[in-house]
Amino acid sequence: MFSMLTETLLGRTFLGYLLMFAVPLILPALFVKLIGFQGLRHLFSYEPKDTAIHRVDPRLKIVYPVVIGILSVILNWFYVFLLLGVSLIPWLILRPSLARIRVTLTMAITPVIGMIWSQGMFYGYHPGVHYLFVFPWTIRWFGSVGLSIEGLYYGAEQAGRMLVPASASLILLLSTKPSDIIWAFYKFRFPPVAGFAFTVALRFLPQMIERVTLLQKAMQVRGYDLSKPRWWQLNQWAGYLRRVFGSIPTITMALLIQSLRTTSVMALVADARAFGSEKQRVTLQEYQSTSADRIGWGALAALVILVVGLVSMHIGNRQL
Amino acid sequence: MPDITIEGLSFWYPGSSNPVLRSLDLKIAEGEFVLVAGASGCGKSTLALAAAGLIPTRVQGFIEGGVRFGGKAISDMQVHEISQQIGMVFQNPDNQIIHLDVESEVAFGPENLGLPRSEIAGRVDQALRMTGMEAFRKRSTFSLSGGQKQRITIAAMLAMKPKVLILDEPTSDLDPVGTQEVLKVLKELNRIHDMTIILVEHKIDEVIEWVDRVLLMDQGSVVVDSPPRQAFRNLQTWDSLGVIVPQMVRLAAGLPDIFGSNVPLSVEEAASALRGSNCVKWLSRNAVPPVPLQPCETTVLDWDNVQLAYDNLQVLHDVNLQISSGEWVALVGANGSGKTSLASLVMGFQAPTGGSVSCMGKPVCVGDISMQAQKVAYLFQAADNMLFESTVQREFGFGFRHRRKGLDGMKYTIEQLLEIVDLTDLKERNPFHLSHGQRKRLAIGALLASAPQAMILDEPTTGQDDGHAALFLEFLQQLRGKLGLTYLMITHDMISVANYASRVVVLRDGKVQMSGHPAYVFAQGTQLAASGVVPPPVARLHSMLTEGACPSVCLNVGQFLQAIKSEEALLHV
Repeated sequence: MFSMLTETLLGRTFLGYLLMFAVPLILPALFVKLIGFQGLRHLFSYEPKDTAIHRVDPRLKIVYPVVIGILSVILNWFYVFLLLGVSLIPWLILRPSLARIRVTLTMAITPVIGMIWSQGMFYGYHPGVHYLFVFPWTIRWFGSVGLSIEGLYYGAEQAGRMLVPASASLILLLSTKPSDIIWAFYKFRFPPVAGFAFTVALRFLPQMIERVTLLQKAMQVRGYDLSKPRWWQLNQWAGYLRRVFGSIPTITMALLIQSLRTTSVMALVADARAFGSEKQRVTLQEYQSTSADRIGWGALAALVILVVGLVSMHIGNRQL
Repeated sequence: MPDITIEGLSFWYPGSSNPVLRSLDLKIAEGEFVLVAGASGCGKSTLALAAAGLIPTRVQGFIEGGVRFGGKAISDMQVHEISQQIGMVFQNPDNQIIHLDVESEVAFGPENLGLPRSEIAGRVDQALRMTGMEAFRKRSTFSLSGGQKQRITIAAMLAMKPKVLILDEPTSDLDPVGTQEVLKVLKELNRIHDMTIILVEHKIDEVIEWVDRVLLMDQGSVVVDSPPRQAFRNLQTWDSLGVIVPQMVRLAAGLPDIFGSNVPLSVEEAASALRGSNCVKWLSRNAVPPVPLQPCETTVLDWDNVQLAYDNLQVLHDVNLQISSGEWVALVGANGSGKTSLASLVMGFQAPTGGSVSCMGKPVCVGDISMQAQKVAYLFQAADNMLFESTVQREFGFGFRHRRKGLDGMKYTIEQLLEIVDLTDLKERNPFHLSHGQRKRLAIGALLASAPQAMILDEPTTGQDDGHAALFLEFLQQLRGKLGLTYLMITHDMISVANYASRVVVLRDGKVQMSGHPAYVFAQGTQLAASGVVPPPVARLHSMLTEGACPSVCLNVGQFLQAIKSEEALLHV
């Protein structure tokens, strides 16, 4: 049976199409099944808790993803995954909720699989590239020679490089109150407006997701069919996807109009509360440096020194 | 404390030739509690924005005349300077909260002013104390109820230490409990802290007893400017503008022999005047004829032992409810009691975690909303969310264009639908250029395209003034008669329930507490209070006068007067 799949043109064609289309079809389904649109609100919102990560200096939490992102660029893929391991330590301390873990993992794993798969498929033809599977001529029209080992490796490396700053950035969003972000922006002498915009975006994202859901419901109540076919109703999926994509302009326009109305009130409120009226802004909470901060800054500095040291000794640096 | 003086104020929005405010001259003295009333579009909100200094600095338009605060022209002041004198609170608290926790939200304004940290802390403490929100200091703003959120927006303004607070319909999105919370805070700010309050509000019944002065506006002018007891001397003025006067005022006008020139502003005042009269005896005897519930003939909507939970939160507990063909059922209860969740199950928005939900005898297919919409229509609270097209006519076309394949043809043509909702003359108009009530009618017309047999009305009167709300409900009543529709209405508006519902179902913590004709349900004041429901003033008066001994109460002033006058007539026979 297996030899029939790998040795006959028909079997190889079947395998080829399966390899080519299974991942792009499964990934969106995986995303919808595990997260759905509503689940996104768990990804980008503050989760109030009393952990060491919550208490740590907000400035450190802003610097951390920037620094770790730069480090991930200069390291090779093996060391990038070690760095990814390091970036998971704050998550262990943070102990996020199950809903958050599910959403974060799905959001992380979905592009990782996509990236590894796409690089494996489209790494290109180079001398010395090894293929796990070479496509028969019946699928060559798609522009890929086959599934290459080097491509998969490269995809994994890129995925690791993407995951490290993403993991670090989400720590900031999950554990930092917007007021602390504004404070940190102010301390860094960034324009307060930037911090304010960031805060308002965080504040409104869950609301915007709610609104999209509401608009989708309203369209369906008006007779627009967005009901999902069962997985075996293959003939209905094309129509369903067409309707989903067809609904996007309608929902976007309604969302835009509503958001403009909301933000105009918010702008009036910000003005009425004297935002931007004084150059010198004072915060109610003055951040008191703690031992956790000192440990955090120390750990980050040690990590930077370690990586720079390793790279200067040509250990773990990228081969350009 | 300085006065607010409005001198010859006129205002035009860009592109409009008609002024929204017309040569207004007003003086609001320090410590006054002023109620600004009027039909939608009369200029109340514009007046509030102008008095708060947001016109013309932040809201563009052409202005004549001006506003002075303590002798100083507001137009010469920066917005942040004004906000330390005059604070403004808007309608929807969700659009006004910037931060994710209460303390940061209240501290935001003083922080922006660059005040010393001790001063900021003091102001936050004081503002939270004045609004009764100290216990919520560390809470996330997402976890607050509507009333609590609005109290936080008030606290955030109070932290700016204004001398005047202007509020533009601050309770319109709140349930009765939230409304009372906010109004109580305003009363205390005025009475205890001597703050000047200017309140733009449609819920006149609930606030009238606390205000010092009433301004009734029409087409940008003030047509009544009096203390509350004198403001209602000429009820025709109010009626002609479609502004509903408090029920106790209307009652007093119907019983001049008892009330004379004393206008009661609260149920307690009316009760005190009526106690010495024969009314109490007559009301106790045969106030309202018993209204039997119609026998259940054809069940249209059926919830059988329904349970619903979100993670660990149980929202509905063993709900058994049947709605028969032709009924107008009002679903009432405090926010969070499960009203919208209960209704959403019948649209297939979500599946119950226990029990079953059926519609016209068939189980509801969860997720297949467009199919369910063929049988049941759902009018969202914000009908604007249901409008997607550029003209009224195209809006009706939406349903025709996107109708599912395999269904029967449409029962109505676009022309018929336009006629049903009385929008034929406006068919080329942009939906967002229609009035609030017209937009609601348009949304209903769009829903009727599939000829549903039942309609769920989620807060159908919210955002409309009393006059327009009454017109809209009358329209729904006529539609019901014409098309034989069954209504399930989710509402906090008990006067609408009293006037239109054939049955009222009270939900409390996800359980059905009471179900029956409004005349009987509104007689159960204690149980209703526990469920966060406040009966209409006339029903409360009836219960108060009969000391809760009557099994049923009058639902409107007309019934009350009729009950008294029929007895009176008998005496004279």
